[in-house]
Amino acid sequence: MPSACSPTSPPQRTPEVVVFDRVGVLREGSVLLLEASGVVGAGQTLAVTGPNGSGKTTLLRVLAGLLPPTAGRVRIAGRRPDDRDPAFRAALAALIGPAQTARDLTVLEHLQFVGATWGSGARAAREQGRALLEELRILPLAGRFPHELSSGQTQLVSLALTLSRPSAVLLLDEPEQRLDPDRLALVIEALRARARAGTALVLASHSPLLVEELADQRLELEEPW
Amino acid sequence: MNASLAPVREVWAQRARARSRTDLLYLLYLAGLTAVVLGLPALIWAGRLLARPDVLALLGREEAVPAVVALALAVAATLVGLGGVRGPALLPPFFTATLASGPLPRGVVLRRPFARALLLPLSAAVLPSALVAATLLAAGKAGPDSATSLVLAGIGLGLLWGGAWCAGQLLRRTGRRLAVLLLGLAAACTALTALLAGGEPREPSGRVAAGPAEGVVGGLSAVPGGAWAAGLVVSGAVVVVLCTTLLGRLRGTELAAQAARWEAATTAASTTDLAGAAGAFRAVPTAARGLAAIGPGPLVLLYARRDAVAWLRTPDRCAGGALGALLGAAALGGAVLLQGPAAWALLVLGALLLRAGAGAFVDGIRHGVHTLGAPPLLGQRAATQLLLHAVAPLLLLAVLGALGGFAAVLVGGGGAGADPVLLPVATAAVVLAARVWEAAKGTMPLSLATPIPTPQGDLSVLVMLAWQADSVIAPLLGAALLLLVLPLGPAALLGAAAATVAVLVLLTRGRLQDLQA
Repeated sequence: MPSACSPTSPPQRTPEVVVFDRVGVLREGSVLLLEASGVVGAGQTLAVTGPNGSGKTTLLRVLAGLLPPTAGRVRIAGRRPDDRDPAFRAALAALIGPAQTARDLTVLEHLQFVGATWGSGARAAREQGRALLEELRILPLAGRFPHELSSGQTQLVSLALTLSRPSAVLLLDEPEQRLDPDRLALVIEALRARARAGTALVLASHSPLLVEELADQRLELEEPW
Repeated sequence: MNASLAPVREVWAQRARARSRTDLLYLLYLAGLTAVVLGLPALIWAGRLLARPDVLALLGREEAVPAVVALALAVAATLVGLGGVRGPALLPPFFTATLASGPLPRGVVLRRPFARALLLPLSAAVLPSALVAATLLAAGKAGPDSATSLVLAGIGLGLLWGGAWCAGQLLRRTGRRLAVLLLGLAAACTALTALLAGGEPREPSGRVAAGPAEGVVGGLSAVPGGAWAAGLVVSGAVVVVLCTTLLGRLRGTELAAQAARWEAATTAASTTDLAGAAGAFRAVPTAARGLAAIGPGPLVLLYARRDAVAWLRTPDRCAGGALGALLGAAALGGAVLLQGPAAWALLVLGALLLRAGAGAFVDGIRHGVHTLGAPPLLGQRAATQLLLHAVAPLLLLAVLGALGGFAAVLVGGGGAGADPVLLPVATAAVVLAARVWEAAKGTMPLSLATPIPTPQGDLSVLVMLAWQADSVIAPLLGAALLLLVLPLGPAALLGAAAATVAVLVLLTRGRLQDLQA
């Protein structure tokens, strides 16, 4: 049965930043994602929920341009997902799986480097990085290398890395993973701030709290078998 | 508690897939027979092939002995360093956790893997010495006694190398660094002695003259036999016995870490992921945390600075890489000054050393490739990242190439113009392009594993080996091409280097597209 998102609060008229219509993925005879549809405007948050194997990550991968859909239509900031398109790349930030880190840069340098590659000055990028670490209360980790982080710290740093680059759309796959309740509350606050600033959020989650606190709309996926 | 290895061995021997005593005897018989039927004739044939004036002139030079000693010391320094990453006394993680951390004496448990590992340095020392002995025998420059002495010396050296490897595993980081430094210094001093003893005749082209083989009376062919070789064997045996008694002092945490790393590497290698296997041994950053890796300036500078500071964070690896590249460049420069098989041997050695050294400076490039297939985080596409990450290593390798080439000119006494400098610099560019191509390598296409049945067996293994080795073969072929066009002048050399780099860039582009698909 096709899945379509349902609003959890009265709809508002905002520019449609993420549009996906009857998106399905079939790989070697296996259905990874049944037809899913949704529209997310600027400043809105769509929570994708459903049991394991229902296609939440697959949908996010399709939206991020990492997996071509077998059927359906996807537009991110009005463009077809394509890694080669600079406008698409500039529009979308995503955390799907572990973030790609360099083994020889410290946490703060990672954030600074990401900022600098998007055009920030070195000093400004450093200040932004520190502010982001402060926001997630992981500033003491600034001088650590990736291999010196625990799994929960790695998750927070991955989130910080994803948030450190400019974007109109933010895709997050289970951002609550390995976080304690206090940290989860911090992450919810940080994401809410991005949404208020106009970022469209699409997140796949198993956390009722995260969904309850952030979602304007909800897309419940069903197991495709 | 009086624990013994005997019951463990009994249980182990009762496994379904355990080798029986007969299997082991057959294996030994097969190895012995292969050595006699194939190895010995091949050695004699190679000796006859190498018994030519230019090779004999090199072997007969006064500085040949100090050069061999310097090489032996340099290898020993490398082995001490290697011991800290993968020592000779190592068991798989399961046995490290059970046997080496159980009630049995650790030294007894590790005796067998240590003995097995000794075969590696032994082979590495005995084979070249046997080849030199066969060459001198074939040319009539050495009798059976001298040849036997050379082989015995090889055995002694192999045992000493085994001791150095074990020492590297036993020592803590500071002690290990000190040992590497001392051995390296000793190697450098001995090499300098060899260089100062040089001063050979030259041809008008600047190449070292081969000289009449009949005049060869010194060097390795004149080393007095018997006692010195026996001394080496006894020293080696003493060192090995000493190491064996010290095996029990190996730290459990270190053994566990090395075992886990080795298993990860062998697992990756068994799935044909050699890059992953090498990655398991890449050092994690330990120093220069306070150095600012990110600074102001244009993107090229941003990436170059980030890469350069990153190198300093693994100082041992960085120093080893730089030394390897420098020695490789010097060898390439030396290849210009020599002729015949010696020149080609130096070319191969130089290209391999330069390639190995370059591996320490391309982590940024590897990271650029790893960003493929992940949601975009950096402002540049993977291909652009690769270009930006290539700037710093290119500059460094070019400088090291020029320095190494210049050293070769100094040693050679000049006469060949700038050729010994130009060749390593041009080869450095090719090596870097090959490294980028290697970084973009995906998993092996399954089609390559399609069996190719022949009367001699399945030849698909050769195809798979060629695929695995392409990033090693490419720099070798590139260096060979550059050496061949060198006599045509600098413009031809640079043109050939540019063409080779362009081909590798195109191949890399194809691989990146495959990875993205």
